[in-house]
Amino acid sequence: MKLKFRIDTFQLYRTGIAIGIALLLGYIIIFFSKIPSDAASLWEGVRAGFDNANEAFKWFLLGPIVRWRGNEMLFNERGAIQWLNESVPIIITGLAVSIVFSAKQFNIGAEGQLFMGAVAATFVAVHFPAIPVLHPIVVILTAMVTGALWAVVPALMKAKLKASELVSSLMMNYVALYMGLFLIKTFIRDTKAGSLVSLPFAATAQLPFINERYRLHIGIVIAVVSAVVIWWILRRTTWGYQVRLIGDNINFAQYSGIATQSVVFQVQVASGAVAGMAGTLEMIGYYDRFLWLFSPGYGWDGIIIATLARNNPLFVLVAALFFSYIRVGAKIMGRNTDIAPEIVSILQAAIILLVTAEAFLSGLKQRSIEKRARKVEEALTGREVK
Amino acid sequence: MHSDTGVSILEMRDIWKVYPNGVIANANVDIQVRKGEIHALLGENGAGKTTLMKILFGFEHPSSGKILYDGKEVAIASPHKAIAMGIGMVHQHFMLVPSLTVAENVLLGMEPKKGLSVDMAKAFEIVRQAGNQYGLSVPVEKKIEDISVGMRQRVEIIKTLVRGANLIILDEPTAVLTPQETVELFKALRILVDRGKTVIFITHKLNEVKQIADRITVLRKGHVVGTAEVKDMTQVEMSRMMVGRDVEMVIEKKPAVVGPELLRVKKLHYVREDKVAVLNGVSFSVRAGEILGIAGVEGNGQTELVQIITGLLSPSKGDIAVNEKVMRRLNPKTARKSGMSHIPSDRMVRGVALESTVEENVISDRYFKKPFSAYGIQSPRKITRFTKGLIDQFDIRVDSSKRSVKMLSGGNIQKVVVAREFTAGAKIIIADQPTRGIDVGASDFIRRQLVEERDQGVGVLLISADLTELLEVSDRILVLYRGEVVAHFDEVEGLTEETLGEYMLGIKRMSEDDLKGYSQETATDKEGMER
Repeated sequence: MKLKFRIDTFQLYRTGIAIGIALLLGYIIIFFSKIPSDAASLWEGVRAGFDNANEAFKWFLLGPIVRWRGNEMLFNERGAIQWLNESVPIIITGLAVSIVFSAKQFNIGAEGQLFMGAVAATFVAVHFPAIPVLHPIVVILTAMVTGALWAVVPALMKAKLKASELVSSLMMNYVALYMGLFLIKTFIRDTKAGSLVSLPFAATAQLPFINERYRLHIGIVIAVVSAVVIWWILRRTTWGYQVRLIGDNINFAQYSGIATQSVVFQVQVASGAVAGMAGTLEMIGYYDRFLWLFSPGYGWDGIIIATLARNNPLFVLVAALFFSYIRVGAKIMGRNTDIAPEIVSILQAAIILLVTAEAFLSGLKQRSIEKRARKVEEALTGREVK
Repeated sequence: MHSDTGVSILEMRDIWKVYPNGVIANANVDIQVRKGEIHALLGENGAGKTTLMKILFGFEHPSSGKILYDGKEVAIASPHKAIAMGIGMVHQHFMLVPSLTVAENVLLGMEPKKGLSVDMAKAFEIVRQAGNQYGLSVPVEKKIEDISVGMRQRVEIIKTLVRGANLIILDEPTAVLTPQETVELFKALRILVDRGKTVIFITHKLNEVKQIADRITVLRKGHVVGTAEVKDMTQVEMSRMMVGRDVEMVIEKKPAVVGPELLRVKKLHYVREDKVAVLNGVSFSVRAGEILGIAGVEGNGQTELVQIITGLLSPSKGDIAVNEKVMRRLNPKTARKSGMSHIPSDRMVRGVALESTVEENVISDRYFKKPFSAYGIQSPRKITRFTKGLIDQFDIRVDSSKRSVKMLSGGNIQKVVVAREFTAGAKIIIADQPTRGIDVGASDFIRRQLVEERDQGVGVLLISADLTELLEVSDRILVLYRGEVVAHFDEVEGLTEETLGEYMLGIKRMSEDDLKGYSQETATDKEGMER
């Protein structure tokens, strides 16, 4: 009966191995692309390939936290702060997605929710009477309410019309993008600026900094606290219990007397509220105006991260920090070598494919289970078993 | 008939099967089947009979072990391969297309062609001949949905024969049959072996083994206990092999002390989406302190009846009254609030959440109440303590209350369901197939619990396909046939399975006058409650 523990650690191994394979894949790609075509001999070429790949991987794996002065390794403060700042929006969307996924609702509208949240927040950040402390709170709440309202549409369509939330929430993302840009362009555009950006935010709307030089804002604190709070809500409250039970078996939840329709609705709206603040935190933390011309993609990252974290809010934190680390690493590699940082997309894809592929390494798992089972059997019957 | 020289058609040697959740379904299993015999595979539910046969039919792959068919070692990768080798299997749940005719089902994928279209006349002829050859006549032109369960089973058997099966596996073939249909099936099986076929017969019913089988192999907890000639053994010996102890099956029951009416079902009609009327004016009532049993061949409206009473389904017409109050907005929540609890027949679909823990499963109807939570926050320690109490009280075999339910065996999963439903403080318990597919020990325990609840003044509605169980536990019995109550027995003493079978098959039905005894009240006394 000790089998359960092994099966769980197996998931951990599997994720680790998936990451290892992805990194190896990245290394191989870089290796082959860096063999100079004019190498004097094959041997020379291979050596140059290895040298280049090693150099690239040094920047990629250590870049976010290490900088070099000569041969001396120093702490890379700027890189580390960039890493933390970039993880904020994807932690938040990861959390938002893990809430809906916990109830097995395939709502993928986080992208639109965060976009509309940021648009609404922009108006408040620019125009709201500038009261210190209160201002950013009102901005964030506006973003959350807007995100929640944006989620109401697919949630209602699901509850009342049985429309697939997968389709409707996806469509709402496009509506959000073009409507949001229209609103910014029409009502709050900074005409003095060279590109399409909003008027600058009031200074009081800005999130406080932890490190002013490299603009480390308290968004990361908000993200970590959110993760813990959402974990607590899902794990320790009766509401979270309902959500998880619905996610496990909605027929059973209904049979038990849980108002499944209404909880499913609430889950989508709650997730929308969380997603709503994802972009806003970055905007009033790192930047000082609305400057997106495209959808930032954090909502999609959220789906990847929630999947990798198996919808556990605390693992979302780890997964999001990991992703933003390799992304920052890739950018630093791109600056210091001539390798395109987009290679990180290949790594991400490989990791997700391997982690979500149920059959990956399942033979290994089965063999270890069989071995254990036979041992237990031997102990019970006292018979020799091959 | 069967040869004592023992030419074996099949040998399985040292078969192991470990499922991905760590459950050992088969361990070190050896079985040898002789050409031309009826070989019964006997064992309790969960003993590993079905798994072993799935391995033989290529549905599952063994973790290790050898299979010899006709003296040659074979690897059976898929059912396709098994069929090609001459192995056929009739599953517990039939694999037929209801909207196609018998002939079309039998010849699916191998239809005789005339140009581009199917030569129906020829198809009918082939199937008719195949059936007659083995004494299995079937209405070849009828649709599957229009024929009885017994007939459907014949169709399945013919299907394997047409595909050239020499070894036919029947997985609990009598579970869905009435006593009369069982007799017919056994006749057919005899003809099959006389014509040189071999039959493997999975069952846990001892009297059937005695009647039909030549040899048995008994499985217990995944191991082979032994193989023997049936004529050398008594039923008691077999049951000892099967269970490992003598089973005391008789439940001591005090006479019922009947109280006020708790549940009344009034002229219930239900028309399914496909316009089939599944319930046609069913009425009855359950009083405090009694167990009302409902007998019927599966698919005669029981499922819908239970779903309507428990609020999972809205009736087309008719009412449900609890404590003489008509339930206006009946759903699972209000049903539970009104004092009903429900042991569902499909426990994996509705009875539990498999990935969730035992704790999470036993509080699903009371998680919002004290002491399990306060102000919307759960009290994990109290939930654990409560669950541990239930694990002891109901003898659930699990090493931790935080184990996910999917790690438990079928019988223990059912005990989780029963533990929850029996401790809900209900006045009415709807027990739908409460012991289906679980071992004898757990079944016995659950039946005793039902009787105990009844002695405490709870009203129990028991729906069961197991007639022995119905006769043993119920105080009164109704028979449901095509969505109607066709018989009602106030006295269970002296009632036999055969009598029930006749009503279940629609061979007999009580007259309106005979039925008045129980339904009259609905028609007249309670007129005031009608709309």
